[in-house]
Parts: sequence; C-alpha cells; structure tokens
Amino acid sequence: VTAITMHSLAVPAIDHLVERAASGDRRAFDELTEAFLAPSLRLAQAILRSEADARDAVQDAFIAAWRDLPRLRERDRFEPWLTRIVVNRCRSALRHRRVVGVREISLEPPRDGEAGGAHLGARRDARSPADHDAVAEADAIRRAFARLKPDARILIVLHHLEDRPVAEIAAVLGIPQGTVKWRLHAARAALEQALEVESR
Amino acid sequence: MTRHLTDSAIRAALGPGAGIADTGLAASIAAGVRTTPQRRRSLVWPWHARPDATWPEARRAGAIRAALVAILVIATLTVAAVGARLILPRHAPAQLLAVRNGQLVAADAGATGRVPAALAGHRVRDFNVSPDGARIATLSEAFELEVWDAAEVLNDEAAVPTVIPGLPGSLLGFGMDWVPGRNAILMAVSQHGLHRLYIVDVASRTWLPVSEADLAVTAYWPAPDARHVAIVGQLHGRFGLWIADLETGTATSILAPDAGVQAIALVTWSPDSGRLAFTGQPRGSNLVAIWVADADGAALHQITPFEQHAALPMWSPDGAWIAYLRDAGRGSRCVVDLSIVRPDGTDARLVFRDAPAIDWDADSSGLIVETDQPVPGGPLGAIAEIGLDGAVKKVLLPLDLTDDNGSTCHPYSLLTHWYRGTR
Repeated sequence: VTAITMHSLAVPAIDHLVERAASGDRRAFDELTEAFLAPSLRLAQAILRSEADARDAVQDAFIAAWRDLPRLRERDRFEPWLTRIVVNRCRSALRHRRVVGVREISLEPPRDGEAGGAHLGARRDARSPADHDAVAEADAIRRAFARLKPDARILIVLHHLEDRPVAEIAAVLGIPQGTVKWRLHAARAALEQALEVESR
Repeated sequence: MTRHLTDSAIRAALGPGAGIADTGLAASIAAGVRTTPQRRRSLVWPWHARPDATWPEARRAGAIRAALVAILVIATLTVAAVGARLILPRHAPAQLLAVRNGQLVAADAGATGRVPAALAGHRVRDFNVSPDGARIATLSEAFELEVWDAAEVLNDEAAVPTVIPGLPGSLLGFGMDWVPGRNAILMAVSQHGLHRLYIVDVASRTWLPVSEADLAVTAYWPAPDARHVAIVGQLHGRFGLWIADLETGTATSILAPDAGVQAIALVTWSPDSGRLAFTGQPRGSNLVAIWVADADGAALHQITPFEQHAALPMWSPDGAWIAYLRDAGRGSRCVVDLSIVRPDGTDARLVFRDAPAIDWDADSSGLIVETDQPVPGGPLGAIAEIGLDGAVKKVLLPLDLTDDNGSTCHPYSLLTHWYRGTR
C-alpha cells in the first residue's frame, strides 16, 4: 500500500473514502487512518505531552471514529469530526490522569535552530548563553502548560500550534466563535500566569 | 504581574520536536477496526457522552451523569440506612453524646470527645436526641428547653436552637423525652405542688397536658408506638401505673389494687409497645423484682427473684431479652451487675460486673456498658460495647477520671445517651 498523507489526498478522495468506510469498507478506513494518523498523533502529543498517552488516545479515537462513522451525516466534515473525537479523548485522558509530582524531561537533543527540551548531557555545555536562555524558557513554558486545565491546553494547541483559525476551532469543538475567542484569551492568560509561577 | 508570551515562544516550546513515530499504530488501529462493529443505530442514553460530542454536549452529559450518580448514591445510602437502622439523616460524625461538667460532648469510637462549636460555652443540664437522630433537645442552665439540628451541631456548623418558653407560672420539672416519629417532647412540669405530664409540640412551641391535673406524676416512659405513655404516679394517695393515650388525652390505670405489686418504678416498653417490664415491690416488702405485663395490665408475671436492688429493665431491640441491673455490692461499695433474662423469666445470666449504665446494641447482639473498671483500650474505665457473653467488643469512649466532678460517680453517669445505630 502506497503511503498516503492527508495533504496528498484530494478532498473528493477523502469524501469518497469516508463514504466507503461509513458503509463498512475497512480498507477505506485503513486509508483514512494512513492519511490522518500523523496529524492526529501530533495533536494528541501536543495536548497530552506524553507519547504513550497520545498513542493510546489516538488509537481509541480512531476505533471510536470507525464505530460511529455511519452516524456522521455530513461526510464532508470528516476531518473536524475526527479531530473532535481525538480532542475529546485527550480531554478525557487529562481528566483521568492522576496528579503526580513528576516532571517529564525530554531526553531528545534539540534539532538545529530549535529550542528543545530540558536537555541533559554534554551537549548543553557546548551551547551559548542565548541557547541556555531559550532552553530554560521553553522548559518553563512546558511546565506552565502542564499546569493548565484540559480545555485551556486544547485551545492553545489548536490555535498556536496547529494554526487553526477561530472558526475552525469552533467547528471542531462545537462552541460559538465568540466563546472560542474569550476562552483562548483566558487560556493564554492562564498560561502566562502559570509561567510566572514556574519562573519563581 | 504576568509575563508576556509570544506565539513563536509557545510554538517553539510545545511544538512536535522530532515528532512521534507512528510505527505499528496504524496496524493496531486496523486490528481494532477488524473486531469492532459499526454502530449504525445508537441507543443514545442521556448520560452517554458520544465520542464526537461537542463540548456543550459533553458537559451536559457529564452534569447528567453526575446527578444520576448522586441520586444513586443517595438512594443506596438511604436504603442502607433504613436497613441498618442508621438514624442520622446526613452525617454520623459522633457515636456518643454525653454531658461532661455541664458541656455537651460528642465522641467517636475511642476518642476522648469534643464540645461541638455551636455549644461551646453553652452549659446544659440535660439533653436528649430524637429517635431519628435529627434533633437534639437540651435543657439550658436557665431551664430553657432548646431544640437543635443534630447535623448542624455535630458538624460544627452555625446552629441556632429553637427555644421553647416554659409554661407561665410553672417550673420545668423533669424528663425530656422525644416522642418517636413526632417532633414533640414529653416533660413533666411542676404545677401547684405536683408534677403534671405535658407534651411539647416543637414546631408550634405549644404545651398540651397529657395527665390529669390531680395525678402526681413521679415518672413516665413513652411507648415506641408514639401514642402511649406509661405513667407512674400517685392519685389521691395511692401509687399506681397508668397508660396515657396521647391522641385521646385519657389515662387508664392498668394495675388493680390487689395485683400483688406496688411501688412501681423503672418501666420500659417492649419494642412492639405491647408489653411493659418494670420493677416493683410486693405490698409490705422492701425487696424488689422485675415484672412483665401486657400493656393493658393482663398477664402480669415476675421474671427475676426478689433482690435488695434490681433496676433498669431494658428490652432488647428485637424483644428477645430484658437486660437489668442488680446491686451486688456490700456496705458503701457500689457494685452493679448487668444481667439478662428472657421476657418469660427463663435463661437468666450474669453478663458484666460493675456496669452502672447500659443500653442495647441496635441489632440486639450486644450491650453498651459504662464501667470504671479497666477494660482493654480503657485503663481507667470506659463506655464500651460488649457481647452477650460479656466480652468487650469495642471501647467507645475511654473514661478520663481527671474530669471527675468529685462525686463517687464518674462524670458521664446517667447523662449518657448511646447514639443508637450510628456506627
């Protein structure tokens, strides 16, 4: 099977796959999975900040999407519909996640030009003071993000990382655009306050 | 003051980094899809949050689910409470209430007790808890009758009592007994040199007479049926036992002058209100025995041998036993033994030595005793739960003799009401 990405599929092709999958065609759903798996994983990882949790959430979300696909009336709305399911699974995972005093530290080295995680090891010593500041700030933002409530996390990820416009976020979450705007504002303020706490 | 964040800083910090490898995940999803049937028609229960529920839908479903869970929990607890004869409607933070040095004290099992905040500094002479555990009546230092919400008092919430003014020209006499199933209290009130029994309706704060004006009430015992009251008193110079009907307001003497027993005292009702157990003396004798009779005076019979002192007959909640105390001491030494006997006078047995106050367990499986003898968990004595074989099952309140008010009795004596069924 040729690897397919979402961007390589034309919209009519997606609609056709959705129609076939909704009729019980598992192969069509496999192709939809290939197309939407990577962006869904990125979204879940950004919200949950845990690869394992993200994989679980996405797997649950896709199986739930398969099960409920026949009930999707607007077949051309598959992508926001699937995104809503992924977001809901992430939200549920966050709410059931036990609060433990553990901070996740990325052991992965940063890519060039990227302010990566709180990196350990000799590479840190090779960086400039400016690099250290960027790393420290990125780490503080991640810790501040971890303090946010699930809804705030989701909004920040959808808007700031995925660059989704307000109208699209409203469609994904099923809330009015005005509500998205003020919730985004509140989420941003909450992140800044949490960052202030983390920086003390 | 909060720090201002740039979009690029957020993106750099929370971005995907090297990304996640979806190795094997697509295959896992495909395997899940193979075994998962599609849902073409859904039974959408109101509390079922669909996977694609919008946020408002999910929130609504969550609220409905939480409400249903709350209803289920409340229903379960209610059923459990009724089944287990639990009587506190909201919480049961205390198992035992007592008056210690003029202060109402609440205690949990094994604790030394605390004064509820609402009653801190509020001295009381006596108190009693309504049978459903919802209200506490207190008699204040100034002889005011006060009724409190038990949950508010025991949960240390702000509690304001209903204060019931006394009858004009009367002094409060004795007793303060809740009428089962009613928001009413029985009290004997001193009037014109004798005590007359009244029922106090708490809601309307009114007093209604129960006994005749010329019957000098010396003691009374309300029946579990909430309708009848046994009254011991003196009418025109003759002692007797009367049964008053709270609904009709009439009192009937139930012991004939030739019944063979007089000087009735310490009456207790059987749980079904059909029989009475009481202490009494035969005419011309100083010895005491315990007798049982039907509520109309029929079937009178003696169930214990004559003793110098025998007291406090108490029916077990299931009606199978009568517990009583007898003084087994010598001289000034007071030793009160607790015994039990069947209502027909058979199967008498000594259960516990030196236990001056008693009550039954709610399930009739044991007794609550108050002893100043060392018991496990109460080296200075305790209020404890014992089995019918006399073995200590649990210490409910260790006694602290440093609180003793100097009398020969420890400070909880006779002012302790076992908070029945709240365990």
